[in-house]
Amino acid sequence: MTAYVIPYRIGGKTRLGDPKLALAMLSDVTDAVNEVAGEALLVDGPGGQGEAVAGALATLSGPVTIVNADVPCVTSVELEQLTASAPAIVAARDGTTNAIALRDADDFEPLYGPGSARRFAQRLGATRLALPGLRDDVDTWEDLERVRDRLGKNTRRYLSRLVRM
Amino acid sequence: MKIAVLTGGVGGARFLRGLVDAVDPAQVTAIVNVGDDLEVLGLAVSPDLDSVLYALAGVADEERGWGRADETWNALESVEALGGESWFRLGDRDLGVHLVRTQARNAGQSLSAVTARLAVALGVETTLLPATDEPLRTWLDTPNGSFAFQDWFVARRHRDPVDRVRFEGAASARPAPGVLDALHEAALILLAPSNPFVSIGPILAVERIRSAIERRRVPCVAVSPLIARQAVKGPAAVMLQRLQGGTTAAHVAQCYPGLIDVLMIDEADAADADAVSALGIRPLITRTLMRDPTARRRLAEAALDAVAFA
Repeated sequence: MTAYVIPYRIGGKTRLGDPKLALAMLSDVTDAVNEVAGEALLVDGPGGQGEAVAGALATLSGPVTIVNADVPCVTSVELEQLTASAPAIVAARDGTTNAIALRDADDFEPLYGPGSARRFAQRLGATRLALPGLRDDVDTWEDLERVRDRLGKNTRRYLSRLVRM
Repeated sequence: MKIAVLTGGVGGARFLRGLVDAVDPAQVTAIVNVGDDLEVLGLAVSPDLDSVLYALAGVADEERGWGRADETWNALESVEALGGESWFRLGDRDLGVHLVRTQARNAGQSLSAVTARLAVALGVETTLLPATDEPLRTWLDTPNGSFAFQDWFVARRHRDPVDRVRFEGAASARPAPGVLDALHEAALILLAPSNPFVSIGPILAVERIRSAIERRRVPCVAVSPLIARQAVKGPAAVMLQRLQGGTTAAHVAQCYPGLIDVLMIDEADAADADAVSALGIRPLITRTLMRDPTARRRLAEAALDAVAFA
């Protein structure tokens, strides 16, 4: 059974300036994970994302898939494809890493940050998958506009409420 | 994702080597100390720019820690035999750089322009910028007199205790072209594990550089130059003790008030982490000794991860 880990910083996503939007996007990610695995492990910590994930993985063994909380278009089918391809990653357009599938939690290394997709791919011998829902992270309102038609239901509902107000 | 790094010579150059192994070198801009620059035998020498240049070009002497690999000393031996100035060790290959730079400077070219040309000629993709094109010189006031940096550091082997560090010319020095742009465009600012007083200090003495970092909208991460409260090399710990009152990681953090968000400290200094936190700076405990290419790349990777959170 593959464990699913979602790094999520409470009060993060400052570029969007809307914590409720961040939470709506997280809900879309957890919904997709729940369809596949039944549960998701949310992790946070004072430091960087890799540190936080490494801390959580220290308690786990066996296959693990790590999915960022800002990919509101992700589908359960994509998660299954990613997990089945482990070791595999999905990069964001800017060269950072949105999702990682590992055969074993011990394989993880804290390599997030600028240019991390290249580092994860090299170090883990990971395949790079082009799964659009996992690729399209949302850092800005422009990003959100670009993926508007493919958003998960929680983010879609939140945005429709904003428009009505 | 651009990265700007403030750096001095040897330790900073090693750190940069690790960084460009971890990220695209062309995304990195090194803003380099020029407070140590001097004239030797009529030649314009920029020791820290050269250390960074040689390290990034892969031609540095790793064992000696400064200068170029496969170096010979014929010119300097000849100078010495003729009774000339020989205290500052200029190697034969090294001389080539100083000759080209001196000629360019004499022809009226700026230090940043000739530095860019040298970097391209040596195949360095990273942007190298002197902190300023104007004369900014580090002086050490000691009980035995005041000395220019290299007089104190090399000729007197940094044995005089330092009461004060001064940066002559800093008040009027403007950042070199490209420096402020690099700081404004960066997604991350790094302070290399260089000496806070005589390597990073002269860069921050340029008021517009300091204020650009104070007003940053991106994280700034410094790497402590100490391990187990000792300097890996050079006078950093001795200076911290005398000028800052101690050699804990918190004393390092206090060298950068309002300038850094994260201080990376060695595992051997983990006991100091709480004192760093108490200053409102997040300590990141890792291994900071850059003993080999893997260790220095991992240090850079830890700095990148420290500020990442989706």
